[in-house]
Amino acid sequence: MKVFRLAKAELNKLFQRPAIFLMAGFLVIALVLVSFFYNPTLRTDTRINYQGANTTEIHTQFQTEKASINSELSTLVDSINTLTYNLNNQTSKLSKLKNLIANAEGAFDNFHAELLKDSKNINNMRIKLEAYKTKILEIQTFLSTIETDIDFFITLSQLNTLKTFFERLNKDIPSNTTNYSVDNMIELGNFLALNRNFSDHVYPTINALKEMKLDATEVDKLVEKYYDNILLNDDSTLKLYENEIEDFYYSCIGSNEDEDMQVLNNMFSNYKSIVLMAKESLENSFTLLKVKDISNSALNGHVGFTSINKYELQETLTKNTYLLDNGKFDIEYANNFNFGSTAGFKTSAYDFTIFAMQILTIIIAVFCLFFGAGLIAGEQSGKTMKMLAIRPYTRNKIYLGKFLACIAFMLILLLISFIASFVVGSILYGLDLPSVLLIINANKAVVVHPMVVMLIYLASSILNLLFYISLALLLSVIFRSSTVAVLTSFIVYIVTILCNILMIKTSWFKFLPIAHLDIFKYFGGASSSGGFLTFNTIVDANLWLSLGYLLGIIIVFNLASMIVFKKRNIA
Amino acid sequence: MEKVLQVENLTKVYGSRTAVDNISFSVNNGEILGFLGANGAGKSTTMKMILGLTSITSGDVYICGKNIQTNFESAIQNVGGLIETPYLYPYLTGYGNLKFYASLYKGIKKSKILEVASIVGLSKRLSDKVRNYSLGMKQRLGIAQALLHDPKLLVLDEPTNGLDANGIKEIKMLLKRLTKERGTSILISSHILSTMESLCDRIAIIDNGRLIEIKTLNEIKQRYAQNGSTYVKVGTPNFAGKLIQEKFNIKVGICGNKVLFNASETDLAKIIVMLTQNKVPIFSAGEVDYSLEDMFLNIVGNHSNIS
Repeated sequence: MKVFRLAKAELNKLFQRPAIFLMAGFLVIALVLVSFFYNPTLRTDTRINYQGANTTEIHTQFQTEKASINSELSTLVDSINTLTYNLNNQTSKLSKLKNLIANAEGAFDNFHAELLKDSKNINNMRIKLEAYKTKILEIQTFLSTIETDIDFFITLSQLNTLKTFFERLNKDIPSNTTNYSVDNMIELGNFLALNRNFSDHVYPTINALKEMKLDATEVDKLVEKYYDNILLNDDSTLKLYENEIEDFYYSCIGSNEDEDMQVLNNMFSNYKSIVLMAKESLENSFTLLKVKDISNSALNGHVGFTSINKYELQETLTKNTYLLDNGKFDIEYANNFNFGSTAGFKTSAYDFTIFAMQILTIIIAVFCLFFGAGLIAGEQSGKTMKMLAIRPYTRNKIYLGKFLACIAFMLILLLISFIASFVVGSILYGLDLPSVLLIINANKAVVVHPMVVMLIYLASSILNLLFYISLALLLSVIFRSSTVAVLTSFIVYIVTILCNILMIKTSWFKFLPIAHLDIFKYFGGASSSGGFLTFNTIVDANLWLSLGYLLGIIIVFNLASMIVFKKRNIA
Repeated sequence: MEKVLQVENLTKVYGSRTAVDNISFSVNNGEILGFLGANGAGKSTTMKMILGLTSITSGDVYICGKNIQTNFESAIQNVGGLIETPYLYPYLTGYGNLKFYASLYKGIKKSKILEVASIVGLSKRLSDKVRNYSLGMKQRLGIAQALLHDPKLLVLDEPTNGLDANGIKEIKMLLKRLTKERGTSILISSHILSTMESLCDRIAIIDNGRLIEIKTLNEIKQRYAQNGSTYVKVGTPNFAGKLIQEKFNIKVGICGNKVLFNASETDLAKIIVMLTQNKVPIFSAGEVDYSLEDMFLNIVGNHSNIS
């Protein structure tokens, strides 16, 4: 097809430029530098490693610690049940707050009534005023506990509104009224009734607060799934595994072989791992249940929920559930891939490749931007476009040909960098990484070969770069200046990285295309850093949403470019 | 058979300014048509529209019968163009540049590229990088790239821009050869009149976006010959003019120190004798050979508007 012919010609032209050697040189130097400076933070080994002369000694240690291991889970269950009970029986904190406020209001009414009596008794007034102030202080104390221990929904701004109001109110009520006359008291009472009344300043906020809703049956199901089935029941996962441990122990009781003790220690670790996974699963699913009606970005404005990321919770939950269901308790296995700057227990070629690719992709991006902008804006300003526009190619075909050349150029650079990085990584760190547990879109767990993860990463990089290329071409067509196109695209790139570092959580952020550029984050976890350069923050989206948005934007950019380019008067 | 180029009511409006106003003309097969006009008259804009570089406000352009707006790829296949100075890729060789453009067409072989290079006289310098080319060489390479696909029509806008006399002469010979040997039609524009004079079969005069007239060179010359095809260059033109008018009863025109009139050779001899007898100094006498310059300035002078 004609478009391919043009693309091929453009590529041939490119590879005759001396600048190509500069590019290659840059990439080689970058790869060498990365190899030198790569220093991954390895995971701390939290596996159990009891020391002892023989298996009996370490087994005893385990027995003594078993109870405290299990209590991690049972303590959680208690607090969950308590909370659920409180919520469903009107003893939640919100009810308590409302009561305190109602009491305070009552205290004020008493005081005000005292002021209106025919027989003005200054002492009684003082007493009632003091009672009122006490109630205010109670409310203030209660408000300060809300940050750490919450069971209803209140936004930061709502909390601050209340706090500010009661602070002011507290200031307005003097603690010492010995110098006050009756008239002073009446004046104070009127002032408070007019400017510090609850119906204007407190109830609007209080009435807007949302009670947490917990369906007790749902909670029971969760407890059953992650506590009863795992810890409590006679045929529970933990009990069965305990039997395994005992069986093995009795087969090598009293042995002082290092091998036997190692296996036993591993089994202890797995035991602990089961409890911890169950605990994390229960915690996460309970939290998800609490906040199921609120979007992530809305949630982050609420007290006590500012650092919650529903996607991450769901992802960990899926991972743990899979591991528990499939009897894979090995803590080493339990960590889904941890590529990039934080590796697993030891580094492998796969870690290194992803890390190296992140650096190299920035360089490749810049090259692609320059190439693309040069093909369009450069030819316009260099006036070679007029020699091209009089060939038997419609404007659309000319544009598409150049776009294809950009894509091909990007793919070539990416593949070469990828292969080179992988080869270097294999030499330096070896290929020793067995299967990897991949969590896709937070709800699907699958075991794959690490190379599959690499390929997914590659695909995500391609899409990412396609966005920037399309942007650069659009800017090239509109502004006809290579400098504008490359500079602006690069600024967008930097802004994206900054947003990642700052972890923007505003509610409108998810509508911007730059929030959806990195597809890789939907595979295996934002928490497992894909690295500091990919865009990890998940914002109220899922794999399909982001993918659709990204592809859509790319198509829109290119269509716009074609439309503008068609209308251009060349020369 | 349809004409190689047919332009009908071509108009280009930029905002409030009409750069090209309702131009219609055609180019016959094997003909060299010249566009003559001052800078900014609309020559380039017209040619850019013909090549599809600039959008057409209204009107049609047909190349070998194909409409350039509705059937671009088909139409443009028959045209080769060079607008002003060719801009080529400096980091490629002459051959590399030609190869690039050749690869955009189907089936242009290496032999063709070498052939085209030899037609423009660049065979020896093909493997040099274009950034080392002189202006003349770039111009020739520019023409070469227009010939790659054997077009029936060449559209050349100021192709002799920046060339020295030798360069201009070579281009002229090249173009004439193309027409004679391959029957290529050429639409060429310039504001250098001597070039046009020796090259073109017909000349179209463009001024302020309008086509003033389109005639062969001879036709133009004939028209102005009506002013008088004989002249004497004298020291006292007015006096001499009066004498000639009285004694020979013919109309005269004065142009500087030239006295112009229509007379046969014998009459001219008699006039010279008469003038000498009257002590009029005579510097020279003979047939008027109007240069295109005189005619051009005349035509444009008559039609120019201050817009």
